[in-house]
Amino acid sequence: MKPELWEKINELYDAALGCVPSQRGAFLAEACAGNEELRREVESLLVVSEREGILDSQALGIAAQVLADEANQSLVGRKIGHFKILTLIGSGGMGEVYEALDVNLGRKVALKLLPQRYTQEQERVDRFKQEARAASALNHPNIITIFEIGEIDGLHFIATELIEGKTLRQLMAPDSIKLTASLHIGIQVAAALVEAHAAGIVHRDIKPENIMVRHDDYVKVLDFGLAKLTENYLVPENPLDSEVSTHKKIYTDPGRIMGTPRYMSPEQVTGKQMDGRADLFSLGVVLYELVAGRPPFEGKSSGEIVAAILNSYPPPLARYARNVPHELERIISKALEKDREHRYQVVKDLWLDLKSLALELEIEAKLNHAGERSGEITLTSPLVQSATAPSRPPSFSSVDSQEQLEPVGGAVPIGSKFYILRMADENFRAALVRRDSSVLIKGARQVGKTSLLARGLQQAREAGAQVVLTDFQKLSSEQLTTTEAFYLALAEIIADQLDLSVLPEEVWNSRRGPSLNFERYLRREVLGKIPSHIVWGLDEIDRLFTCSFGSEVFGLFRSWHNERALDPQTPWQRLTLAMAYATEAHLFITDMNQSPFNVGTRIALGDFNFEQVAELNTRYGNPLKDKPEVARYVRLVGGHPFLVRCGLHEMVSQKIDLTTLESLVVQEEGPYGDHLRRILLSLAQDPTLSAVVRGILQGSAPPDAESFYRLRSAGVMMGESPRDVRPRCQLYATYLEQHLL
Amino acid sequence: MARQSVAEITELLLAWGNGEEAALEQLTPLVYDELHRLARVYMAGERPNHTLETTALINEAYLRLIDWKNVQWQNRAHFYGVAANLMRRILVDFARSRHYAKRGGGVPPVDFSEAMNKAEEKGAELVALDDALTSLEAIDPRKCRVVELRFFGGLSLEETAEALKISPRTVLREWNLARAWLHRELSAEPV
Repeated sequence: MKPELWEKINELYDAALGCVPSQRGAFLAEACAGNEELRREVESLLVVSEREGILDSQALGIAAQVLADEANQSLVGRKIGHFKILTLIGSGGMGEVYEALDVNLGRKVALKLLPQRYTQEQERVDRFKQEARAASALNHPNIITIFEIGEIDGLHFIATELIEGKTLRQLMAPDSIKLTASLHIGIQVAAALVEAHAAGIVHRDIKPENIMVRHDDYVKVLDFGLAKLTENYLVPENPLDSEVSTHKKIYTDPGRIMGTPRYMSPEQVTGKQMDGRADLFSLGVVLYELVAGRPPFEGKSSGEIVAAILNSYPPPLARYARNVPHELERIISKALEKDREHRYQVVKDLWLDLKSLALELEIEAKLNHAGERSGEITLTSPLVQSATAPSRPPSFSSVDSQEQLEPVGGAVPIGSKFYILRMADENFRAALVRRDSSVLIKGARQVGKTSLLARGLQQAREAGAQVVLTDFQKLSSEQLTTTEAFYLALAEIIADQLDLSVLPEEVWNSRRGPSLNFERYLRREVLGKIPSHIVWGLDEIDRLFTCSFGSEVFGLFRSWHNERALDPQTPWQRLTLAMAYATEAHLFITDMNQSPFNVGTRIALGDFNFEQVAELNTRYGNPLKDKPEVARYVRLVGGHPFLVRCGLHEMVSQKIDLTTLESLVVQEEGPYGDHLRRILLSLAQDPTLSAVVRGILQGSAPPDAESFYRLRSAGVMMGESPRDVRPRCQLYATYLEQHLL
Repeated sequence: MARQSVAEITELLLAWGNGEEAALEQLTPLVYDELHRLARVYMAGERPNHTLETTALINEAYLRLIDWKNVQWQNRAHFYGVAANLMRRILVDFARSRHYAKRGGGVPPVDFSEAMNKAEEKGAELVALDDALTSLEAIDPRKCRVVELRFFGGLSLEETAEALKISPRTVLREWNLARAWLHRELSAEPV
């Protein structure tokens, strides 16, 4: 290189560094004045100056790392207990991970050796073991399977399934990850967290290093419970303890031992108690980084990052990535709320939102491509677990005859081709297979709770379970007056449906209280006599909410749930309660602790999405001609399952098209007449609520919070907040305007 | 071998600086001791790449090796240069002795299964840097000195300034460009 050129480079490089980055280009263009070589040189130097490299460490440290790596590799080939170490596959904050052979079982495992500095205190080790044992009980396709936790020669280890793939960190580093892939990764991590949280396990350290993506795109979350080991290292040890000197001092320095705080929630960095919502936040950070290609909270030091986590709001995703759906922006912001009360309260809700967004995007993409490719469209993405993507029944090209049409209203008959499988079906099925103690199916009126319940029970029956169904709608008002009458009625229904030889009245003893009689009957005569799994479906249990002893009944159900948790041998292990209730109802429960609703598996049944409406349209023989018609129809009735089915049925049975249907819909004698009238009648019973609805329709004032939630759970209005409230669909808006204004 | 006193190490360093090659034989094991000591700390726990923790540990190691403060003031600049040069020599030899060939460098290991090659990657990068530094020396000897003092010698900005008898501001300017230039060299595709 010519000295003159080098001198120029020196000069311009220095000057360009002094410019704000956005002006460097213009500055160089002018300063180089056509000297392309000079400009190329300086520009390429400026580009690399942003990156980290070897010179950001020191030679001595690098050489020491080389030694450390070599030493670790030297374990290769050695035997530790019944493991033969094959290769070093990774290292990180929680120790070195080796591929190893379990010589007893002849299988390959990933063997993680825990750093000794975490395992010196017995108490800590015990806590870790307890947590790791709990985590090892988790059985979920997105959670790494723990085979063994143990100690050999003072060396603590965890043996897990061996995963062939890359960590999310490794995937993110070289390339940006596609939006849909990011979503599917997020969905699977969320699914893992849902499972863990249900078991009471909080991960505490969700970050890209702990998420692995297998070569077949399956996602596995690693290190559940491991964070327990490092916990409390945030608390400084006694500084007078000088003998332990530097190491302890260093390792107890906050923000260092925990690695980067980049993925921590505000409550975590401030040392507060953490619950599942902390994991939810961390997942939000990961999702943001996946989509934006950069983390939401940045800083040059841990302190700066912590300050950002506590105080700053990340820039909109749209700034860093193109075509970010508004919905995704909303979902991530909600996960990243600083106040955990404002976040999603459970990961399940985040998971559901991600799922439906993924599905929508997929359909959109398919529809956009549908014109280009003829033939069947498949909706299975490699990243969607088969377990959560219900397989589709054979599609029907048309409805051949009128006989195939079923009347609409009430439950969809079992075996009907007009039944659309939703997420909820799969979740319910899985809960029954797992024999969960209680499953709660909730949803607004007419979204298909009874149909779902009936199908789940049918599947349980086919799988060999004994099944009872109690429809609370059928209980008389006398039976709901006293606990005595109520429990006896329940017991009789059970005895009848299971064909039991000992009838309740034979063993009922008035000296014992009714609930004790009932419980005893269930335990002795039902669970004691029937060896199989028993699924008890309780439909429309909202009737209990308004009855005086409702909370007592739920208290009883809850006690069984608790007993199951404490005693693996209890006969209650074989009983699953599947309860369906309308979301309108839980406004009436006064004491949430008494209700069973804070335990068990929850399944929220919502509206059909676009894809599901399109699918049902196909099964009805395509009364809606094309995609724009489906979209128009969705605007008209929303995804309300009953309205959707009803209108399609009307079009096919009356041989009318969408335009004709639209002209009929708000008429009293039209297909939706009864449905709409019922809304109007219930509103009429509550003048305050009617006034609120009027206000909303006129756009005059946002409703008060309580009215908003009532209207929303009743399925009349929708929206994220009172300010955002609007009628659930065009049909409701038009009808209510006609009758209330 | 008995642990040398800091004063003895200083003597050896100065001797080596005066051309006594034999001093190197006595100095190398001392540096290796520190290396092993650091490596043990890394192995015991996590291995962050560039955190304060690492910096603190390394500084401590340097201090044990080279007692900057006790050297006579008038010798200090010279002494800094000698020590940094010695560290370069020992550490690069250490890497070379492991037969880490020069490769592309600069690119962190990507594949999980390649993590076992980490030692090799790092060693190779150190060797590659030494070569690139020699090229830089031909263009701009002062920049080479700055890198030697800071990267190999572990000196601060101010100490570097003192050793080279220039202002810290100039050191920073020299360092910035040298760093960018070397990183660019290292990240270039291998021919």
